[in-house]
Amino acid sequence: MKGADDMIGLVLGAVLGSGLYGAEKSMQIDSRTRKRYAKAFAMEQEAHRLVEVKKQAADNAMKKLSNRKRSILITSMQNFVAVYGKLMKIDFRDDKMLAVLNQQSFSPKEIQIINAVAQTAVRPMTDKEIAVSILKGFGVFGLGNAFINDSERELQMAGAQLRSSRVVYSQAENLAAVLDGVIASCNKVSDLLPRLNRLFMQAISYSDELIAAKGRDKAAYTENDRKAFCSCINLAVTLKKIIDAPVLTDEGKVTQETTEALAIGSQCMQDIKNL
Amino acid sequence: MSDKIKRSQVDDINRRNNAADSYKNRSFGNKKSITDEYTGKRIFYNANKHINEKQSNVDHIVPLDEQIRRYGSDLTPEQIRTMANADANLANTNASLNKSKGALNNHEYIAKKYTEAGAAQINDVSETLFGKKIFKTNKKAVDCPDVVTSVNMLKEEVKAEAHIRTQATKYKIENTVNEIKNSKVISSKLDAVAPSVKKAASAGREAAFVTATVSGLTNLVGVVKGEQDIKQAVKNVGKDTVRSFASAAGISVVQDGVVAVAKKAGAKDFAKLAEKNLPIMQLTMAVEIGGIVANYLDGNISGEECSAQIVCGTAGVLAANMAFALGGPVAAVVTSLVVGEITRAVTKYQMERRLDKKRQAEFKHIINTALQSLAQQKQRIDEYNKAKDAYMTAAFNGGFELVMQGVYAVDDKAITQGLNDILAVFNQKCAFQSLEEFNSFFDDKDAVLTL
Repeated sequence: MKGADDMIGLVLGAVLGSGLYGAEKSMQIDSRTRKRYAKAFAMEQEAHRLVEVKKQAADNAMKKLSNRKRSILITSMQNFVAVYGKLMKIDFRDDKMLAVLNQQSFSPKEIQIINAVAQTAVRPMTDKEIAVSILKGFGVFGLGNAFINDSERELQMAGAQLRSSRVVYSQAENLAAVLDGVIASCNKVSDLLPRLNRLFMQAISYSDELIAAKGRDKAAYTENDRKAFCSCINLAVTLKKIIDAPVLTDEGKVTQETTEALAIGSQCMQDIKNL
Repeated sequence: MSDKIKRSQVDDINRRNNAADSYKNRSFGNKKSITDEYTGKRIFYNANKHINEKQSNVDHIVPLDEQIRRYGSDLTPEQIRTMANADANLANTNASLNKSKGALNNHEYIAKKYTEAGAAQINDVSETLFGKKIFKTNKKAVDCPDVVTSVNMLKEEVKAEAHIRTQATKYKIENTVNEIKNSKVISSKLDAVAPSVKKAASAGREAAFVTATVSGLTNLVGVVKGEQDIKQAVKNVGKDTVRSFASAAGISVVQDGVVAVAKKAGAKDFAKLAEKNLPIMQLTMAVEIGGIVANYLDGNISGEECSAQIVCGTAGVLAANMAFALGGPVAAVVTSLVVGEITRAVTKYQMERRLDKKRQAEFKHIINTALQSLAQQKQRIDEYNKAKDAYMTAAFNGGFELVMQGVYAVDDKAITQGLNDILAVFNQKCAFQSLEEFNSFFDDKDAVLTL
């Protein structure tokens, strides 16, 4: 039996050596796995941050625009009604104002869907590698391979997670681009309103002086006076139409792009689940 | 057995046999016969027409007495009853085997049968040669479970043990957490948590409980501090405990099984070797089994796959290494007993692997398709934003400039045109496009300006 004992020692030594080699190798792989998971996690966090920052910026831009609209409605527009009310009947409606001022960008549901996509979990591909490593056990070195196979599977899962994170990030970039468009539109209108309002105030002031001088008899007004009245009323109507217009004049486009970005991510997640 | 809990308190005959949705009735459905989960032979539902070997019985794989002994002091009768009568701990077998097994674990039963058979055979030889028995037993040569039955029984036992120990740990932690909540123990009095688990550890009954102590305390601290919820803590402790179980009880089960097989094959040296506690082998196997069981807990593999991987895999490693050590035909015979199982597992694996490659390719395709669609959309959005920005800039700046020119030149047409350019962005127009339009409105006494 001594020969057999020696053999046992050799076999167990080989098994242990193989196991240690496998353990070391698997630790190296595990380190790569952790890095991939960390990168995937960071990317998903960055996607969340990007959307949050843009959403905040869009909200701010819309708030600024709403404030400018509100200020014109409660100052210049009231002056206009007071001055021109002396010459004509005016039906002034500001009921659309509230709707405009309460307008928001993305709904909480849409943001929720983005978050759901960010949490896409990829199931492990398989656990059967172990069975093969056991078979290799007949060649003694299988135990080490069992460690390595296990780690490689984890690495594969981390890779899958990283790839799906890229989808999440890409989706966030598109949503951010849509919001960039919203912000730019808001800012453009916000810049235009005070310029038009200055002209409007001057026109009201001039009209007030004319009415004070010539009274309520319309026949007393010359062609140039009428041109001034016409321009002033056109300015009032222009401003009111801009104020009443929704921020996203072609809102269908924004909704469409937002929905599509969400749909692509959701479809991707569903396809992965169906694998 | 615990003094407090009686066997009748934890058995559930309805759940096993009688109820319409009992394990037995669900297994049979509308069929009159099914496969014996241990022997692989046909067994029948109706007791009156068949002999014991063909009459179905539902066996508690891990016996009730064993569960009361293990958990009687820590769990409630209801908890043990639930665990003991769960599908994972029930097996359809024949009445003869079930009665013969009694309150033994499957591996204990297999070992006992082989021991009895060996003693009876030796007594037969001894009586023939010397006219007297060597062993004090009156048993005659008995039918030992064949290889298929032994392997099936061991598989079922490993599966049932994994379930019961996980479940028991969950209950234990839940009980302890409830105890903390009820007694309003706060984090500064965490020592109060320890006794319940310490008791198990100090008794040194099972390695699994030692792990549960360390893992349990760590996780409970997290619960009390509000860092994690109970569900997560239970999951963590369950995993750690089952890993530990794998290194102790799991190996013991497999080792006993291999010993039994080896004895039957007459490989005494092999059996002797397998009976020894070889720490290196145990360590390596512990890691391997721990991984398999963890996968089972994570839901990555089924209970069947888990038990198959443990029994085939570990027994395979053991047999293979022993075969190298012993050499010769004896080792070949013993090894061949487990190779069949492993070969089946590997064939299955190879199919899975091919499927895996396909799945990976599909996964990459899905991701790439999504990325491509999103890239196209991004390009479209950027182009749209750019075009819209240019349009608004031109309309607002150009329109406003025209209005200003009209103001300085007292040109109402230029003013109107400038305002129209601006309003085009909003799909709107000025109220009055010409002085004539304004005059007819202005001179009409009934006209109303709507804003």
